[in-house]
Amino acid sequence: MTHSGLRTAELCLKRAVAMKQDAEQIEDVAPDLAAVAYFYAGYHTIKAAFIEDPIFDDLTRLQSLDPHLIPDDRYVTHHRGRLGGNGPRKLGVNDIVKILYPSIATRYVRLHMASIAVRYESGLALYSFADVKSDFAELARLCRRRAQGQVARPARHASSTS
Amino acid sequence: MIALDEFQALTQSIGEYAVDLIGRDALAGLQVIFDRRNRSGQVSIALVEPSGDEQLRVIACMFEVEQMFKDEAITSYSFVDVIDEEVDARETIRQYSLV
Repeated sequence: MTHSGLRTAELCLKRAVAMKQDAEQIEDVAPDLAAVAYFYAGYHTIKAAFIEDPIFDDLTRLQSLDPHLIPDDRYVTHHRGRLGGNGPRKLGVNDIVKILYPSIATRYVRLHMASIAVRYESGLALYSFADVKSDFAELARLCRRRAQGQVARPARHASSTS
Repeated sequence: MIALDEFQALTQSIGEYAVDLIGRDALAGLQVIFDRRNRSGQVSIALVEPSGDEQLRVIACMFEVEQMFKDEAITSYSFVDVIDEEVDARETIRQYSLV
Protein backbone atom coordinates (compact mmCIF):
# COMPACT_ATOMS: atom_id res chain seq x y z
CA MET A 1 0.00 0.00 0.00
CA THR A 2 1.21 3.45 -0.80
CA HIS A 3 0.02 6.80 0.49
CA SER A 4 0.17 10.32 -0.79
CA GLY A 5 0.16 12.16 2.53
CA LEU A 6 -1.83 15.22 3.50
CA ARG A 7 -2.09 17.64 0.60
CA THR A 8 -2.73 20.99 2.26
CA ALA A 9 -0.77 22.99 4.81
CA GLU A 10 -3.91 23.36 6.91
CA LEU A 11 -4.37 19.59 7.17
CA CYS A 12 -0.68 19.11 7.96
CA LEU A 13 -0.79 21.73 10.72
CA LYS A 14 -3.95 20.22 12.22
CA ARG A 15 -2.17 16.87 12.35
CA ALA A 16 0.91 18.52 13.85
CA VAL A 17 -1.16 20.16 16.59
CA ALA A 18 -2.91 16.86 17.36
CA MET A 19 0.41 15.05 17.57
CA LYS A 20 1.89 17.70 19.85
CA GLN A 21 -1.13 17.58 22.14
CA ASP A 22 -0.88 13.79 22.31
CA ALA A 23 2.82 14.08 23.11
CA GLU A 24 2.14 16.54 25.92
CA GLN A 25 -0.52 14.28 27.41
CA ILE A 26 1.71 11.22 27.62
CA GLU A 27 5.19 12.66 28.11
CA ASP A 28 5.23 12.23 31.89
CA VAL A 29 4.30 8.56 31.76
CA ALA A 30 5.65 7.45 28.38
CA PRO A 31 8.44 9.75 27.19
CA ASP A 32 9.60 7.32 24.51
CA LEU A 33 6.21 7.30 22.80
CA ALA A 34 5.92 11.03 23.34
CA ALA A 35 9.21 11.44 21.45
CA VAL A 36 7.68 9.66 18.45
CA ALA A 37 4.63 11.93 18.64
CA TYR A 38 6.91 15.00 18.82
CA PHE A 39 8.76 13.77 15.74
CA TYR A 40 5.52 13.41 13.78
CA ALA A 41 4.39 16.81 15.02
CA GLY A 42 7.65 18.11 13.57
CA TYR A 43 7.25 16.11 10.36
CA HIS A 44 3.79 17.55 9.69
CA THR A 45 4.96 21.04 10.61
CA ILE A 46 7.76 20.74 8.06
CA LYS A 47 5.39 19.28 5.46
CA ALA A 48 3.13 22.31 5.93
CA ALA A 49 6.14 24.57 5.42
CA PHE A 50 7.04 22.76 2.17
CA ILE A 51 3.50 23.07 0.83
CA GLU A 52 3.40 26.80 1.58
CA ASP A 53 6.92 27.53 0.39
CA PRO A 54 6.80 29.60 -2.83
CA ILE A 55 10.23 28.30 -3.86
CA PHE A 56 8.45 25.22 -5.27
CA ASP A 57 6.60 27.47 -7.75
CA ASP A 58 9.83 28.67 -9.32
CA LEU A 59 11.75 25.86 -11.00
CA THR A 60 14.79 27.99 -11.78
CA ARG A 61 15.23 29.15 -8.20
CA LEU A 62 14.41 25.70 -6.90
CA GLN A 63 17.07 24.00 -8.98
CA SER A 64 19.59 26.71 -8.22
CA LEU A 65 19.43 25.42 -4.64
CA ASP A 66 19.80 21.80 -5.70
CA PRO A 67 19.51 20.35 -9.21
CA HIS A 68 17.63 17.32 -7.89
CA LEU A 69 14.79 19.40 -6.40
CA ILE A 70 11.53 19.27 -8.35
CA PRO A 71 8.19 21.03 -7.75
CA ASP A 72 6.50 17.78 -6.66
CA ASP A 73 8.96 17.53 -3.76
CA ARG A 74 6.69 19.89 -1.80
CA TYR A 75 4.49 16.81 -1.31
CA VAL A 76 7.26 14.32 -0.60
CA THR A 77 6.36 11.80 2.11
CA HIS A 78 9.38 9.51 2.54
CA HIS A 79 12.00 10.57 5.03
CA ARG A 80 15.17 9.65 3.20
CA GLY A 81 16.37 10.02 -0.34
CA ARG A 82 16.71 7.19 -2.81
CA LEU A 83 19.10 6.49 -5.61
CA GLY A 84 16.96 6.06 -8.71
CA GLY A 85 18.86 3.36 -10.57
CA ASN A 86 19.37 4.92 -13.99
CA GLY A 87 16.95 7.74 -13.16
CA PRO A 88 17.52 10.86 -11.11
CA ARG A 89 18.14 10.73 -7.40
CA LYS A 90 14.96 11.26 -5.37
CA LEU A 91 15.14 13.49 -2.32
CA GLY A 92 13.47 12.73 1.00
CA VAL A 93 12.06 15.10 3.62
CA ASN A 94 15.36 15.07 5.52
CA ASP A 95 17.29 16.05 2.39
CA ILE A 96 14.91 18.89 1.57
CA VAL A 97 15.04 20.27 5.11
CA LYS A 98 18.83 20.41 4.75
CA ILE A 99 18.55 22.35 1.51
CA LEU A 100 15.70 24.74 2.32
CA TYR A 101 15.95 25.19 6.08
CA PRO A 102 19.59 24.47 6.99
CA SER A 103 19.42 26.30 10.33
CA ILE A 104 17.19 23.60 11.82
CA ALA A 105 18.36 20.60 9.79
CA THR A 106 20.52 18.97 12.47
CA ARG A 107 17.70 19.28 15.02
CA TYR A 108 15.11 17.87 12.59
CA VAL A 109 17.35 14.92 11.73
CA ARG A 110 18.06 14.23 15.41
CA LEU A 111 14.33 14.24 16.09
CA HIS A 112 13.94 11.65 13.32
CA MET A 113 16.82 9.60 14.74
CA ALA A 114 15.24 9.64 18.19
CA SER A 115 11.94 8.39 16.80
CA ILE A 116 13.75 5.58 14.97
CA ALA A 117 15.54 4.65 18.18
CA VAL A 118 12.16 4.30 19.90
CA ARG A 119 10.36 2.50 17.09
CA TYR A 120 13.06 0.10 15.91
CA GLU A 121 15.87 0.05 18.44
CA SER A 122 16.17 0.09 22.21
CA GLY A 123 14.42 3.36 22.99
CA LEU A 124 15.52 6.87 23.86
CA ALA A 125 18.52 5.81 25.94
CA LEU A 126 21.03 7.74 23.84
CA TYR A 127 18.77 10.73 23.24
CA SER A 128 17.66 13.25 25.81
CA PHE A 129 13.91 13.81 26.01
CA ALA A 130 14.67 17.48 26.78
CA ASP A 131 16.53 17.62 23.45
CA VAL A 132 13.56 16.01 21.68
CA LYS A 133 11.30 18.75 23.01
CA SER A 134 13.72 21.56 22.23
CA ASP A 135 14.36 20.20 18.73
CA PHE A 136 10.64 20.23 18.03
CA ALA A 137 10.22 23.69 19.58
CA GLU A 138 13.06 25.15 17.48
CA LEU A 139 11.76 23.81 14.20
CA ALA A 140 8.20 24.89 15.01
CA ARG A 141 9.52 28.37 15.86
CA LEU A 142 11.41 28.61 12.57
CA CYS A 143 8.39 27.42 10.56
CA ARG A 144 6.18 30.01 12.30
CA ARG A 145 8.68 32.76 11.53
CA ARG A 146 8.91 31.63 7.91
CA ALA A 147 5.11 31.66 7.60
CA GLN A 148 5.15 35.22 8.95
CA GLY A 149 7.81 36.21 6.41
CA GLN A 150 10.42 36.87 9.06
CA VAL A 151 13.10 34.55 7.70
CA ALA A 152 15.04 35.28 4.54
CA ARG A 153 16.13 32.35 2.44
CA PRO A 154 19.86 31.90 1.91
CA ALA A 155 20.79 32.90 -1.64
CA ARG A 156 22.19 29.47 -2.31
CA HIS A 157 22.87 26.60 0.04
CA ALA A 158 26.65 26.39 0.25
CA SER A 159 26.81 22.59 0.03
CA SER A 160 23.56 21.48 -1.55
CA THR A 161 22.67 18.11 -0.13
CA SER A 162 20.99 15.24 -1.88
CA MET B 1 47.15 -8.73 0.62
CA ILE B 2 43.36 -8.63 0.32
CA ALA B 3 41.91 -7.19 -2.86
CA LEU B 4 39.13 -4.69 -2.21
CA ASP B 5 36.09 -4.79 -4.42
CA GLU B 6 34.35 -1.58 -5.47
CA PHE B 7 31.81 -1.73 -2.67
CA GLN B 8 34.30 -2.55 0.03
CA ALA B 9 36.38 0.42 -1.10
CA LEU B 10 33.29 2.65 -0.98
CA THR B 11 32.36 1.35 2.47
CA GLN B 12 35.87 2.01 3.72
CA SER B 13 35.88 5.50 2.21
CA ILE B 14 32.59 6.39 3.90
CA GLY B 15 33.91 5.15 7.24
CA GLU B 16 37.28 6.87 7.00
CA TYR B 17 35.77 10.17 5.85
CA ALA B 18 33.27 10.10 8.72
CA VAL B 19 36.04 9.40 11.23
CA ASP B 20 38.15 12.23 9.82
CA LEU B 21 35.28 14.72 10.05
CA ILE B 22 34.03 13.71 13.47
CA GLY B 23 37.50 13.28 14.90
CA ARG B 24 39.05 10.03 16.09
CA ASP B 25 39.28 11.26 19.68
CA ALA B 26 35.55 11.96 19.82
CA LEU B 27 34.68 8.40 18.83
CA ALA B 28 34.40 5.32 20.97
CA GLY B 29 33.67 3.49 17.72
CA LEU B 30 32.16 3.81 14.28
CA GLN B 31 30.83 1.17 11.93
CA VAL B 32 29.53 1.25 8.37
CA ILE B 33 27.32 -1.56 7.10
CA PHE B 34 26.86 -1.15 3.36
CA ASP B 35 24.37 -3.18 1.37
CA ARG B 36 25.26 -3.10 -2.28
CA ARG B 37 21.77 -4.25 -3.36
CA ASN B 38 20.23 -0.87 -2.58
CA ARG B 39 23.47 1.07 -2.13
CA SER B 40 22.54 1.94 1.43
CA GLY B 41 25.13 2.59 4.09
CA GLN B 42 24.13 2.49 7.76
CA VAL B 43 26.66 4.26 9.96
CA SER B 44 26.60 3.44 13.67
CA ILE B 45 28.34 6.05 15.81
CA ALA B 46 29.47 5.57 19.40
CA LEU B 47 30.54 8.87 20.96
CA VAL B 48 33.00 9.34 23.80
CA GLU B 49 30.97 12.30 25.06
CA PRO B 50 27.38 11.83 23.90
CA SER B 51 26.01 15.22 24.93
CA GLY B 52 23.24 16.96 23.01
CA ASP B 53 25.60 19.55 21.54
CA GLU B 54 28.02 16.86 20.48
CA GLN B 55 25.23 14.94 18.77
CA LEU B 56 24.31 18.03 16.74
CA ARG B 57 27.95 18.58 15.79
CA VAL B 58 28.29 14.97 14.64
CA ILE B 59 25.04 15.09 12.66
CA ALA B 60 26.40 18.16 10.84
CA CYS B 61 29.53 16.13 10.04
CA MET B 62 27.35 13.33 8.68
CA PHE B 63 25.62 15.82 6.38
CA GLU B 64 29.04 16.34 4.80
CA VAL B 65 29.54 12.58 4.49
CA GLU B 66 26.16 12.27 2.77
CA GLN B 67 27.06 15.10 0.43
CA MET B 68 30.42 13.59 -0.45
CA PHE B 69 28.93 10.21 -1.39
CA LYS B 70 25.53 11.41 -2.65
CA ASP B 71 25.88 9.84 -6.09
CA GLU B 72 27.10 6.49 -4.80
CA ALA B 73 25.23 5.73 -1.60
CA ILE B 74 22.21 6.50 0.51
CA THR B 75 23.66 7.06 3.94
CA SER B 76 21.81 6.87 7.23
CA TYR B 77 23.22 6.97 10.72
CA SER B 78 22.40 6.35 14.33
CA PHE B 79 24.01 6.79 17.71
CA VAL B 80 24.83 3.59 19.59
CA ASP B 81 26.43 2.89 22.94
CA VAL B 82 28.77 0.18 21.62
CA ILE B 83 29.74 -1.08 18.19
CA ASP B 84 28.54 -4.60 17.44
CA GLU B 85 31.64 -6.50 16.36
CA GLU B 86 29.73 -9.50 15.05
CA VAL B 87 30.32 -9.79 11.31
CA ASP B 88 27.34 -9.87 8.97
CA ALA B 89 28.27 -12.59 6.52
CA ARG B 90 25.73 -11.89 3.79
CA GLU B 91 27.36 -11.75 0.39
CA THR B 92 25.88 -8.33 -0.43
CA ILE B 93 27.14 -6.70 2.77
CA ARG B 94 30.38 -4.79 3.19
CA GLN B 95 31.64 -3.44 6.50
CA TYR B 96 34.01 -0.91 7.98
CA SER B 97 34.60 -0.88 11.71
CA LEU B 98 36.56 1.35 14.04
CA VAL B 99 36.38 0.05 17.58
